Amino acid sequence: MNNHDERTLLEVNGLTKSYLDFQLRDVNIQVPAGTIMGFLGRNGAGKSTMMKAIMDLIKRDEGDIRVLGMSMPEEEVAVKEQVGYVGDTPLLNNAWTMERTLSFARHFYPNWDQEAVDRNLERFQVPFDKKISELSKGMKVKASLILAMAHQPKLLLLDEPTSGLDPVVRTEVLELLLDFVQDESRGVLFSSHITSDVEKIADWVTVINDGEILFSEDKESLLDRYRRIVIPGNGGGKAVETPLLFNCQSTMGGYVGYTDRFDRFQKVASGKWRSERLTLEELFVLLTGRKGE
Amino acid sequence: MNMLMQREMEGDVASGFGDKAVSYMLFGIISILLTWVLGPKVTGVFDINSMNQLVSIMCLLITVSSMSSKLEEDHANRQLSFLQTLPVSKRQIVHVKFQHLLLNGCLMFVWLSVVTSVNLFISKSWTLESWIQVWGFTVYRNNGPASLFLERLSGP
Amino acid sequence: MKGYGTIYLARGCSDVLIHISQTSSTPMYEQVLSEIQRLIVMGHMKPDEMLPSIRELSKELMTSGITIRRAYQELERSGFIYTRKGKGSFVSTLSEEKLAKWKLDQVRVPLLESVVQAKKLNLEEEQFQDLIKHIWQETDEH
Repeated sequence: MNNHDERTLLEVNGLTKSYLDFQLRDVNIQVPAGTIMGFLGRNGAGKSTMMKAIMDLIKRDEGDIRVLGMSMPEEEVAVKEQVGYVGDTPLLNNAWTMERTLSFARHFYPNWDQEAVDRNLERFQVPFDKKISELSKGMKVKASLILAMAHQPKLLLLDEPTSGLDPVVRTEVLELLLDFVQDESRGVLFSSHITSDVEKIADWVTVINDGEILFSEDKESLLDRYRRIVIPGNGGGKAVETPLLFNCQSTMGGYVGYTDRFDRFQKVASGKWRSERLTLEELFVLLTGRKGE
Repeated sequence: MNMLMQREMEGDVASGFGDKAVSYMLFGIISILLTWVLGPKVTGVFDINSMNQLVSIMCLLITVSSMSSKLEEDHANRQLSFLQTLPVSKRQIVHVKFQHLLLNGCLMFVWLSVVTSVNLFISKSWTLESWIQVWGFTVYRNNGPASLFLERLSGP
Repeated sequence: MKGYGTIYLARGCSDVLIHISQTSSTPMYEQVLSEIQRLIVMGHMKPDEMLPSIRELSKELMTSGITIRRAYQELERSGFIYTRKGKGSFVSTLSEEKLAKWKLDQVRVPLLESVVQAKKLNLEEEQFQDLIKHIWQETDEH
């Protein structure tokens, strides 16, 4: 139907949105099929704004958004048939039961999969006939996820699906996402400020800070190119001068610095030094901790 | 589209019946109090036309309040956002809202017509003119174009 | 519990064990890599046996697909597995030399640390060798 690259589920180009006290600046991301993209950012960094702009729940100022090659919002009906969205607060009607919600929503989707819905309801023990307002927070999130997946979407957009949930429910949600991408034509974009969730299941990591994308990269190569470099003793003086190291600090035993081009550093560096891998959490704090404070 | 309309209509009859009953009761009590305070002479409620006008105003207010409460409920549950995540265009959502409004208006018109007609019939003074007068007052107030039109119509 | 300890990977009729730890400081892909290498070397996975798909394994181990893909690439590069486009990854036939070399490599790294430590503490070479012999016999008895 469209002459776009079938491997790209979501393309965001030059997305801009200005508020009085906040600005989303020139956001570019791509979600390839078969991947889970973790969208990391501190609270208020612009994660929700971007997700809402993709769903056209808020009007963007500029930019081009394409889902499966179809542009938003021009082809919003066709796009929304292929997208499942879970907002930062559940959009379920509190006065309705899950049963009512599902039987309402199913009329809008041609590819609704009732079997999968029943399976997930049972797997997650989501009560069918209780009012949404009587469900716990974790249940509401699970119910929203089931609803978002019921029409077999190609792309899932999840805004902080795991925040505020207990570890058991969080694990269940992550499992559900891994289950979802077993079909390689699908993809997930989920925002979070919980780095360990992203580190666990995401293939791609996108970090946003203060309305700007810092990087969007596959997780393995990202963690590969960053290292903490420890230079013992006083001999580190010269190495610290190199532009390959940043955030250098002298500590009791020598110097500690960080590099984002470890392969290059390995070739250039001489003398005594050792390197340590960073966890995604350490990396996230390193890159976003200073700014905006 | 059908489902969207059903959803809009749902609030009118089924859900929140208790809430609605309370608001109707309150409304009734307030209007009775009002007539009591103002006294029958001032408002002239025993006059057939005034009675009709009172009924009309009440009916209008009830309709407006029920529609706005539906909007408030949707807002509280973020249902408009939810509807926007469904594969329907925004234009459709607005359309349905508007149609529902129109439908409510029509229903109100029919109901009012029946009540005022009955009222006029009972007092055996039903004429087209007095029937239109109720509407002229309710919808356009005294200086609206309709009342001008009515003045011309009733003429010297 | 999935993802926190022992994972049973059912392949055909043999249940194969993979141990990974989400909290270990060793990167996940290295853990997966060395675990699969171990399974192949120890003969738990036979030559030409098919490996689970990347997505399947990622779900089982509760880790991202790209981590597993990286481990598979590394396995392919080092000749432990081969990949047929559209069919999947399979266990390679390994030469005896290669098996022996891999086994020795596994011991070399921890041993190197011990030797460095021994030198730091001014131990004699003979003392160190005696210690190894002693430990070897000691663990034999159990």
